[in-house]
Amino acid sequence: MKSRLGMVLPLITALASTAAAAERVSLGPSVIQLSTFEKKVERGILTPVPIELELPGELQAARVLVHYRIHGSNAWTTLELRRRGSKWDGAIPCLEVSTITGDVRFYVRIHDVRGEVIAFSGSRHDPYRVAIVHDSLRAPDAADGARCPDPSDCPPGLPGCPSEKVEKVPCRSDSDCEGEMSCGWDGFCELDQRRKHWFELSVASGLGVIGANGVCSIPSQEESGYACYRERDGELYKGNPVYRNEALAVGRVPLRIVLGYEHLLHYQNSLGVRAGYAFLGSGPTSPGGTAFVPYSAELRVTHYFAEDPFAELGLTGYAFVSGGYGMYDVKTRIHVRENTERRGAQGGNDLEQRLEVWKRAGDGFAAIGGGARWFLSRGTAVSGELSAVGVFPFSALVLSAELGVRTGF
Amino acid sequence: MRAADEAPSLSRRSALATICVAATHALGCSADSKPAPEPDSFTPGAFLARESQPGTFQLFRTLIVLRMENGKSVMFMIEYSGTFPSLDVARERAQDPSLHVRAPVITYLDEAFLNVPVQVVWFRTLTEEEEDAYR
Repeated sequence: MKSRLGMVLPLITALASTAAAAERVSLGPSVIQLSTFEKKVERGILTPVPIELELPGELQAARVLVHYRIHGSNAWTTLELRRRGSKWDGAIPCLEVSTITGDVRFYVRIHDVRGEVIAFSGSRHDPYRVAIVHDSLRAPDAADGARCPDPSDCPPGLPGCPSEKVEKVPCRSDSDCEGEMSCGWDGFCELDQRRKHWFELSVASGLGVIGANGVCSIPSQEESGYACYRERDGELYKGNPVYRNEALAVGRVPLRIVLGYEHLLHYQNSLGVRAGYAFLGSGPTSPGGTAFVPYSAELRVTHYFAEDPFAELGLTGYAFVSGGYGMYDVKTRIHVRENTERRGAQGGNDLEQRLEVWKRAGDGFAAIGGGARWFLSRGTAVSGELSAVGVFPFSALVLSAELGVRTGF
Repeated sequence: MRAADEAPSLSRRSALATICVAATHALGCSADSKPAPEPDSFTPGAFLARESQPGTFQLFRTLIVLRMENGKSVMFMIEYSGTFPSLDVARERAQDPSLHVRAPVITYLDEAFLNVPVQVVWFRTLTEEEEDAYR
């Protein structure tokens, strides 16, 4: 960049303060040669500030942007120069100059087709300065041409009229953008106020759906993660149940507290990692069974439905898919009938009885869900979501509900 | 070549079978829906309400039934305390695990025990302690 700066600076020309120049072009750029080292000239009120520069052919310029600031304003405005062969010209509109006396500051940045800044002249800290002076303080012959026209007579962008303001400045990296602006995901500079790093604290619980047909048989309890206890006396059930086509049973799953980190990858998409700890609701471990692991880990991809949800406040819907490690104890009750034709190893089993059933589902899971997030401020949000969690290889379907608070940085 | 042609077919069949088994397991649409076996007077663990006097029932429970060579059977039974005015009351009391035992084991010839109306009102598998009484 700096090596090219030397090529650009001698070619920068700007401003006119002579009547002759004013006569040449009434509204568009009127140019006089400006010394490389002279960055301050004078103009009258209500006149445009024309800017023209010529670039060497080997500089593959695609856009030339002028960033200017009117005296008294803190905001920098960008306009794009028009290309005329090897020259680029434009003007700070006279309506912008208005009747405000004082310095108008500007500098020039040259971008290639990819938006990268390949050369510049002047900078925000060392800009060109054009002193806007009231007519009464200027020499009688110091005419700058026509006064500010009616904007409708000369709309920006038409030949001979002031350049159009640039709404978006192309870029490839943050260094291509000025001030507090950074290079956005769309390749244009923006004042990015999105919080990209979010931490969340949530509480989740739900209902588990498990198969109930013959689940309290001894093979099922030994191999499929079930444990059945007699409601009458709390004994582990080791009887011979009759299979009665009880298809599904529903029961609650443990309450789980979740800590998460979410990184905003793009306007609408994020990637998150979450760690959970289950409490209040885990079941007993039957003899020889696998102990309950309360910790869970999850990787999650989220898509938000708003166009740019993290730049706005309010309610936003989202959907996600996730997967990870976790155990879910599902507690339910089923009714069993004892098979009277088979001698069981366990006495005391009534012909009909109710059993408390625990299914220890896990250790992997995959989930799909959706929810809504309410941005209370740019850095604070609350959320609620529902998800369907498929747990495997010890299977269960868990319908989970979650409430959380999130803070972004 | 033929085996190679058949392989995908078998694979598909296997996958279909897996899906069917999974669906069957999940939805409980198995073919095991035959009627549940009912206990009878000779089923170990069956509670029997025996009409000791008209309108009065006494509870017994079958421990084991031994068949003899002459075709008759000996019933080893638990005899419970109390009498009950109806079968429903007897059924309800039979489900109470704290029902008091009058005799941990008594024996009857089947024809003697069944010569009055007897009805199975409940069933509970026998514990080792209960079975020890006749061993």
